[in-house]
Amino acid sequence: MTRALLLRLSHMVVVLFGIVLLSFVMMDFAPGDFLTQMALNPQISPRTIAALREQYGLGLPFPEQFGRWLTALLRGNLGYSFSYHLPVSTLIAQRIPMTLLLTGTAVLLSWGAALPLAVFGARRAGGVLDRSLLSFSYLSISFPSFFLAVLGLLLAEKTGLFPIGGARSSLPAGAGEGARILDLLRHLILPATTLALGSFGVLYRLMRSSVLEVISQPYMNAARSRGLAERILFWRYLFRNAINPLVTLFGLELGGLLSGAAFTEMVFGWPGMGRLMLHAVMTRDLYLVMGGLLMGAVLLLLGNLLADGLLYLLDPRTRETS
Amino acid sequence: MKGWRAFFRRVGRAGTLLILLGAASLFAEFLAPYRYDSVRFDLPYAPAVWPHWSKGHLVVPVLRLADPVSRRYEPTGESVPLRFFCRGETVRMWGVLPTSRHLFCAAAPGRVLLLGADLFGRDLFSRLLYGMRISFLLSLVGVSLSFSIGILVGLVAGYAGGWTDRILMRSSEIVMAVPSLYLLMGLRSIVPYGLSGLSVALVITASLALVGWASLARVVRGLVRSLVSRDFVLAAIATGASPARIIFRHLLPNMRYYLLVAVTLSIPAFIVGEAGLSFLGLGLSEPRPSLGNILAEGQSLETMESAPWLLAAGGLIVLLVVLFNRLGDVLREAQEEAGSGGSS
Repeated sequence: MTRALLLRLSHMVVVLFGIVLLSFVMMDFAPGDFLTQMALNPQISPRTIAALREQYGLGLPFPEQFGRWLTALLRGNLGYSFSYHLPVSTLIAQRIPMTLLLTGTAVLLSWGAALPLAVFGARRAGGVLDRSLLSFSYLSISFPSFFLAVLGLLLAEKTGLFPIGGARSSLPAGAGEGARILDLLRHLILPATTLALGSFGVLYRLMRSSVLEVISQPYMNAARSRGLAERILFWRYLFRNAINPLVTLFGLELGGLLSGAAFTEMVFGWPGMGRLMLHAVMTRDLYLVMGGLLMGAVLLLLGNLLADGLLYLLDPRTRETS
Repeated sequence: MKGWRAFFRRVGRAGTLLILLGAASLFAEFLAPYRYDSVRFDLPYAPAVWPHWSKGHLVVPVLRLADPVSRRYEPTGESVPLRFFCRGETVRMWGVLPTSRHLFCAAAPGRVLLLGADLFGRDLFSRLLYGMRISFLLSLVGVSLSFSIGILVGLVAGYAGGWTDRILMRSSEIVMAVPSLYLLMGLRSIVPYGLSGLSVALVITASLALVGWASLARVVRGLVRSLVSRDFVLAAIATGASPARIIFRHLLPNMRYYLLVAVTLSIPAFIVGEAGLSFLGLGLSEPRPSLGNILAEGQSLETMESAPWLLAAGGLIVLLVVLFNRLGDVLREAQEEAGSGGSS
């Protein structure tokens, strides 16, 4: 087991190194560097530019530059954002909680809705509920997240039930902590729901087919004929086996917690990572773009690792092969 | 004749509809009554204007902006005849051949607006046709590019094995480990902004292909690995066939249908990718229409109120995605049926 884990971790290190190299090559390809834009600013003297160029090692040959960037990364230094005038790591750390709040809520909503519904649907496969949920899943898969978000905005605008845009409204000065949390939740409902709707389809279809497969297994019949209680049959036999294929998907969802909501954030004006990235791309804030890209990639890798670990714990069959 | 019928039965209703939509976007210059950049500043966010029968002729009512603040329109009472196969605005067919024939048009003060107009009075129907062409074009070119890379890498990795395999698969993992939207944005940020429409389209297609090849390479590699140990391939190797012959005569023909399904099912990601980038303002930009940038115009609260028809661009994206997914399913089912009935 330790051997498998070590192998896995060494793979991850290789892939991470590749991503760092990729993002660095991409930055290197960009015409000019961030200082070209600064040099146009008359308030910054050429001497400052030259000093900065020296400090960031921009005149150095490629391998040396890459070495500097890598050692800085290992120290947790993602570079400096020239549009916000803040270190990239600070900026990203500021945005992460808001994005996690949004995506975490969405994951809870979609899994909370899709799993029970899929079990119900699969038990009466072909029934009215199942068929309508299947068509709904087909739609959910086909709607691009940005269009869903726009439709969410339309709903908010037509009904007036939800606040539009942002994560906070200006509350009266004396408003307490409770009012502030309530306000945040009101802003959260719509973006989280549209996100959840988008991932519902895949979840429903996967869980449904998985339940259907387990139901038809001989061991289910055997267990039932032994007279096991329905409750045990459901939790220990049906659910326990049907959930395995979804663990991998869960890992993907964990991995997408930082990057998966980008479009939704942009449409709803939610102050998270996605908006930060868009702003960074628009202003050609390369260190920020690459920092966000790296963080997203690290989280994706961690999510995959966690999913494999979970599957290892849940499904004994995966232990035999490794 | 019979061959055609078999073909249409094979691709199903979804495939037939896609071919129709593709043809419509291919002949956008002829089918669209107006150019995509033909403006009418007196008709901002004008509602749909449909032709109707009057005294045995199809006529188009002429609208007048009655209240510029609330954007209220009223009919002037006048109308112009709707003509077919008429001479209208001059456009260059596929960017080269100048032509002014349109399927239908209405003379100057009137304007046929099947789906309404945008802020500049441009006809949404015409713009959607041109935008759909971009979607088709970029996704098809992007898919072909990424599939060429993916198939090449997958074949080499699967066939060569060993270190080649390991290095190629690690590099595909690297691409797949980066969130695809971020990678697209990263690629976009290293190319200068303000390029001409064609170069932007090229950049987008290339980025989409660079993001998309990895998953396909892994699939192809898996297929090759499973085929290489099959008897007919072993026999070919034993008779001394060259790797090229094995790849082109034995491996590729056996993966053909699977690849076809994979291509079809991966097109939606390209359509959504292009539309998404344009939606964010990183893709095609005004005045060139893309389903994404039309939708972006429709997303502001003001346009949702006064011109909700702009959201039709999003509906068209969904339609294309549904159709390609459905076509993929149909092809897969046909292949599975053929597989279970025939080869064994």
